[in-house]
Amino acid sequence: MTKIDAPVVASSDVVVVGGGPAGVSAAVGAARAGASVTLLERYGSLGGLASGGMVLVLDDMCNGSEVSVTGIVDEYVDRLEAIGLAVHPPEEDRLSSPEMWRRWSRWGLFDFQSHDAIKPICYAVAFDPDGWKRVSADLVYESGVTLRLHSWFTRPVVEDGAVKGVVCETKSGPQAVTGAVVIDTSGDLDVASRSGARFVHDKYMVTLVFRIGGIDTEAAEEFQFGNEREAREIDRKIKRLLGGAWDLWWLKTPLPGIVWCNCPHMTGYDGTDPASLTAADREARKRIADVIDVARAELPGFERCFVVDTAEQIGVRQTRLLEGEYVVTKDDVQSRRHFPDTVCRGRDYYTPYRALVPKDVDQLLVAGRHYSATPDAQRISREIPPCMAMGQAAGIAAALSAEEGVRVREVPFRRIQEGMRKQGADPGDVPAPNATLDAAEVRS
Amino acid sequence: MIFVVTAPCIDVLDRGCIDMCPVDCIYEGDRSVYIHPDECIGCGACEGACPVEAIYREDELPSRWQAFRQDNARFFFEALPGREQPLGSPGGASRLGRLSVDTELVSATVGPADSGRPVATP
Repeated sequence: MTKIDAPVVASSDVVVVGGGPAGVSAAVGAARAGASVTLLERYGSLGGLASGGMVLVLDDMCNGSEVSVTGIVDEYVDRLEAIGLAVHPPEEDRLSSPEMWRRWSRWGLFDFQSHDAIKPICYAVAFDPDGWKRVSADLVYESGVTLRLHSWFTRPVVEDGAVKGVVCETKSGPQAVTGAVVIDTSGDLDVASRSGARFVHDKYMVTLVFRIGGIDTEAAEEFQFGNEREAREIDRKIKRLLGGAWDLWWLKTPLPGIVWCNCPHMTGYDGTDPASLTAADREARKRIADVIDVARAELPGFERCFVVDTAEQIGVRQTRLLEGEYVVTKDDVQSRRHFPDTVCRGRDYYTPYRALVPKDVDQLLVAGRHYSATPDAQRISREIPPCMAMGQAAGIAAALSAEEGVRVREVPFRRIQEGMRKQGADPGDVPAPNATLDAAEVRS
Repeated sequence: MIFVVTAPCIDVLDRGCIDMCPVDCIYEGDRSVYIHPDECIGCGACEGACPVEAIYREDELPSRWQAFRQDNARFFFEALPGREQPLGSPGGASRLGRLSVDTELVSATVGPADSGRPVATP
């Protein structure tokens, strides 16, 4: 065994690096599949971009009226709604109409990719970030996962082409955790990229999400729907100050009077470079301050508004992407290509197990936004619910590998599909009517 | 509800919009960019990114630039000068690369693009 020059503080079947949506799902999925699990997280709480990053909507869960992403995400929604910290449209409201748009658009609960003139309201969920942290912790502890917060991954332990564990930096110095399988859910391929796995490094816009409070949202919406032209002029001005935003730059949260803003959109920054992220933070705060001034002065409902907070974690959307056993393309995603080894779904597309498996290094799996996809495919296949499904599938695969002593890349995908089903998650093994069958499937 | 690139883009070509677009539906010509009307999902990310305010939602185009709505479409559905076939729906600007050609409307535009003069429809 390679000598690890750091104290080994934990050892388990599966080691998950990164406690965001994919990581919590992987850890819980692996534990429920019978593995012992250690979950490592660099910050002081769980949830990644959902909580620390405050991306407060779960979307990309539907293929038309079919709910395509299920599993651990359902547990989050149930638990959050039970404590009044999540909202979703009832089935009868999920359609395209001016009335439903008026009722639900400012919650952000519509089909973002739709080409319809009025985007359909669909199954999507608006939630609270602190609630997300709480539910994440509950799920992790209940499933018997060993959690180590404040543990920042620095380097893998690799021996004979296989990952045997990881070393993290902590306030107590370097600490090692060993395992039979490591799952990289760091979001930026931190583990895989340092383990010898092939990858590409691209970039996409970053955002420092912020919340605004003290808003009369009823007055704001009444103005917007009653004075559309004037409202859009002001919005246009604000979006120019932001340097870019999604069309609805503010969206409601379950907390009254508090909205969240998935903006400013800022390009040219590298989410893996501290100097770049430092500059992005500075620029974002400047734009946010300008927006608050204008909103207070000109936007009905915002007269007494104030910044509640800016996200603890800057919203990085894309950096390193695995170049794994299969690289999902934009065409795959847009044509809804179905693969024989599909193990999870997102929106109307399918993710094959091979897109979670690195070439070049064994006993390592990748799940989350940094999965094996081209940069333009990833831009439209990185939302939180699909990342959770990927995590859950990776966790199950890792547990199977550890239990049966089979290499991770040789775990039969049917076993992963069975494992997903058993945990209440749709593995996507059955293509929907609008899927495109992969050539391999058509031949068989 | 799609977005449309109008006159102020001409000879500026900041391309910030291209960086932002989640579906890669903003294509580069010689003097201007063009939004593909079928590929655009109307997310609005491009609008605020433009430093010269060239991008508008299709129902909010200033009257002097109404012609650009059809012109953005022309870039894709009519054969451009020097090309035999229309571009159609390439499925992503990055797979096509920059084209060294524009629509007749854009090519014919002279002087400061945002001078406010109505742009004639050929």
